[in-house]
Amino acid sequence: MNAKTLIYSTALLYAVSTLHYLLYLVTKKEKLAIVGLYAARFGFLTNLAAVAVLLNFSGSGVLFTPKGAFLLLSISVVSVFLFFSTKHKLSLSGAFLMPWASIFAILSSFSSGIPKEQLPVGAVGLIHIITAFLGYSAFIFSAVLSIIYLIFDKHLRKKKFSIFFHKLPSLSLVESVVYHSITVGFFFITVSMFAGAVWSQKLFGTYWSWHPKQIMTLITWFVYAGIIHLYLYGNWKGKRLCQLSIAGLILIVINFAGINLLSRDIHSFKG
Amino acid sequence: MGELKLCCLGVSHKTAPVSVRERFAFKGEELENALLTLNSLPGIEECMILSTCNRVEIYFTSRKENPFSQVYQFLIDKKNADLEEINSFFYRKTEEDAVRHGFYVASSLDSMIVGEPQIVGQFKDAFSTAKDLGTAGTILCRFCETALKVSKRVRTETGISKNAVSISFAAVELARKIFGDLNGKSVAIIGAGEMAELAVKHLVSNGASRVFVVNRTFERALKLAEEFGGEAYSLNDLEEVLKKSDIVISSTGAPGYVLTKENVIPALKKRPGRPMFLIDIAVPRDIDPSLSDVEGLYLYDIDDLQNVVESNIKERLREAEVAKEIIEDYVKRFLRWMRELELAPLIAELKEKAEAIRLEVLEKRLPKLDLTPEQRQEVENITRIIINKLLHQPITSVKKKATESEGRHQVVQFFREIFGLGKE
Repeated sequence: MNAKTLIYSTALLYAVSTLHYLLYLVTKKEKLAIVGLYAARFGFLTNLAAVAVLLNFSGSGVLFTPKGAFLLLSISVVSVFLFFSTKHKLSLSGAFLMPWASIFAILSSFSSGIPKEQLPVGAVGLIHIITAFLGYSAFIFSAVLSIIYLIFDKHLRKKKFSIFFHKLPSLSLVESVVYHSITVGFFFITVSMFAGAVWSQKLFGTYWSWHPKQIMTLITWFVYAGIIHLYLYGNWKGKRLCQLSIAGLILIVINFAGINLLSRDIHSFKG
Repeated sequence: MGELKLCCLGVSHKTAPVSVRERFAFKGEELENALLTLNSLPGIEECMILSTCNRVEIYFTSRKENPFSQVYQFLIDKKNADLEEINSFFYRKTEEDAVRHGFYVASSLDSMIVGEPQIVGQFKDAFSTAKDLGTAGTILCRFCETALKVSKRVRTETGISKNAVSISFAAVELARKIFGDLNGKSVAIIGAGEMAELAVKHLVSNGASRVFVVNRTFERALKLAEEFGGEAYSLNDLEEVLKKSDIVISSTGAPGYVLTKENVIPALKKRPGRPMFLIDIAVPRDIDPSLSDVEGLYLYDIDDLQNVVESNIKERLREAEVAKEIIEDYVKRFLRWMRELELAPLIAELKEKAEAIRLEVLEKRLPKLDLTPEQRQEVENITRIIINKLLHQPITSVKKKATESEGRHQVVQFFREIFGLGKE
């Protein structure tokens, strides 16, 4: 099978999953969530195959094109979602997360995938790329779950017995998953930064070059370190943790958009 | 003789007031006598009686054209009922409707509170009584076993009995929504009262480990504390208790607010990052309603709890629709089984007839051929195979047609006539 078909099937499966999760949100029928979950699982497999085929045909340079980047983004968002939601019965989060995975997969199918230059990726480079995507996806998941937490909390407070009230296990569980995914994201971002530094040394002969992307990533790293510290020692739990997590994601998005608009180097994912 | 039918004659909370239901109830020895009498009536092959406080239902199988008339007479004799009364309060269901109704009852879809679990036990008891007395045979045994299986599936696969439908359980459910696991959580009860005490009991049985009892009079606090295995405090120590409590249930007879911003907020500040769940069961209210805007506090009064219950009941009704889809499948399967069972003697007769013809012909013709034992055996086999192959198609066809709801009587009748079966 060629990459195009695989990307189209991935987008289609994610769209099917999204549709079912959204219907689940409206009708509360458990069956719809199950269909959504299976569509997401099969989509994950085609997504994985698409990445493999793309790498095989166009070489690792494809990871720096919009096509490859969006495909990596969708698969890492879905893997984080599948990991946490299956474990904790948080099928509700699918309605908030799968739309993003669908959008990423659709964007990937439209974007160009012809690499401009071939960078020698190697093991360190691969670790840098994969952990970066997984880390950011964990932060995305945490922020999405934080939104769910805030709505759930509001409904509990305002005595609104919605689907959030009926289908979510408990506030404390959602909170602990928010925190857990932040720590997972933090771990991956840390690994990614070190791998990136080593890789940079190999490619350009320097660990650190005061590149805007590097500075922004370091700031992000400090922000999340701060969130974790506040949670553990400052009792910034519950609502505050969730607000911080959302703020963290906004920072990441600004960072990502800013770098892409301003610069034209390997971090810009331009074809 | 007609086709065997499963029937149900019953009265329930949906069709009759309790004054009628209690008159028709069968309990203990009376139930056993009734079953035996009913079973001895001509035309009734199997029977079972489900008698609870919300319903009395007689399930039976019969081949009669009008199967209910005898059971009416039975009720008139046993319960001094008159026909008009039976006609106005009782429902009559046959075949598919009876099967579906029985499955709904066993799955608690027909209960006053949808999803309540007692009916399963009551259904089991009714079944085992009928089984022990021998009034439940092949059909009713299969019927009850399927009903219980369905009921189990419905309970595990739908949320029909998941959400709390009483005020005291609603308090537990809410506590779970906030804290998740209740293990290690502490509960304070201020004042006393049946509903508050019940809620504390449910919280404790769901994992809450410490109970603080606060009362205006220390003696009463001591007495209640002993009951819960908790610690007693007087009202003066309220702030001290609030600091340590995750869940507070207030139910005093005080005219004003007992819990206000002045005593709750300082206590909340002493427990950073740990929310508090306040439940106000008292009328007039004990807890200042403006506290519900405070971060880290979840305040529910009696009306809010009532709303939780109502929303949960709606949720159960929604789940009941899912349950009905599951049940429909089992109704179809049971009816197919029952109709195939009806056909079994007919098919056996056809096979016997064919075998008799085969033996008769072989007995006449074989001696003329003068065959070796091996050849004889081969002829035997060949004739058997011909019969099996020839009968295979008509048997599968009639089985298929006989399980359809439309026109199966004619098909079975034609089948009888074509093969000359059933001399009745």
